[in-house]
Amino acid sequence: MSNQDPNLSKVLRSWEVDVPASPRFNAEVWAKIEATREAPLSVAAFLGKRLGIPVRFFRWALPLTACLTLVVAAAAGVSIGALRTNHSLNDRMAAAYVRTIDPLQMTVDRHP
Amino acid sequence: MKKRLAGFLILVLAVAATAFGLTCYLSSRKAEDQWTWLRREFRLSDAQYTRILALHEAYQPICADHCNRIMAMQERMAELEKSGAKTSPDYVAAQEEWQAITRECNRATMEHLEKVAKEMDPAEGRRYLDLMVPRVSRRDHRGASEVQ
Repeated sequence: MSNQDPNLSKVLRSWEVDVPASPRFNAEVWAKIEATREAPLSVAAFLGKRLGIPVRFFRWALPLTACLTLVVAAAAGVSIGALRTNHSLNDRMAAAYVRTIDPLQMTVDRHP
Repeated sequence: MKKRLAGFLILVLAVAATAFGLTCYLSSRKAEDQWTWLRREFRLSDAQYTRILALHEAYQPICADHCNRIMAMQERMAELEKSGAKTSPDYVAAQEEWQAITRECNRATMEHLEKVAKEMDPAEGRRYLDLMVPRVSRRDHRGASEVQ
């Protein structure tokens, strides 16, 4: 058989392969890429290895940690703000209340 | 990497500061009078609140009487001071009387606080006294000129 065989060339040109497209083709390719990629954080890689979690899931670890940190920061800000406001409100209200029952403070308020 | 981490830390601080500021601002806008506050802060039931309000109303004339007596005595002492009689027996007598009135006022105020505390649940009553007692004026041993 020769490379120049005209019959073969003709057959090859007319040859069509009917392979059904895999619906998970893209996902499988990305999974292979992720599997060969190094873990973004050594801690993540360590935990992944220890817990048997595939490295590709650690793709979300960093953004998830960042979001959680922001949520915790907001919650801390709200808590400290509420504590501080409550403390100063108690101070103000208690002082106002005592002024209505303490004649000495009333005379100080009225004294020129 | 360090730059990104620093930027993120600044963002975290900014979020915490904004949350803190917003909480303070929104809480300070809540309009509440001292009675609403007292009721909420010491978890008073309707019955407790009514009894405490009645105690307060009953105490008001006593308080006003003390207030008038203190003011009268302060005016008398101020007049004596103006006329240069600060070392006179009259001034000393007025000062002693002023001290006696302030002691009486203190005693009456403390008794009122204790009566109110007794109307509350025991733990709330203790908390009420802890919060209020340090705010009551104590001028038993001071002269009128020291009243600020």
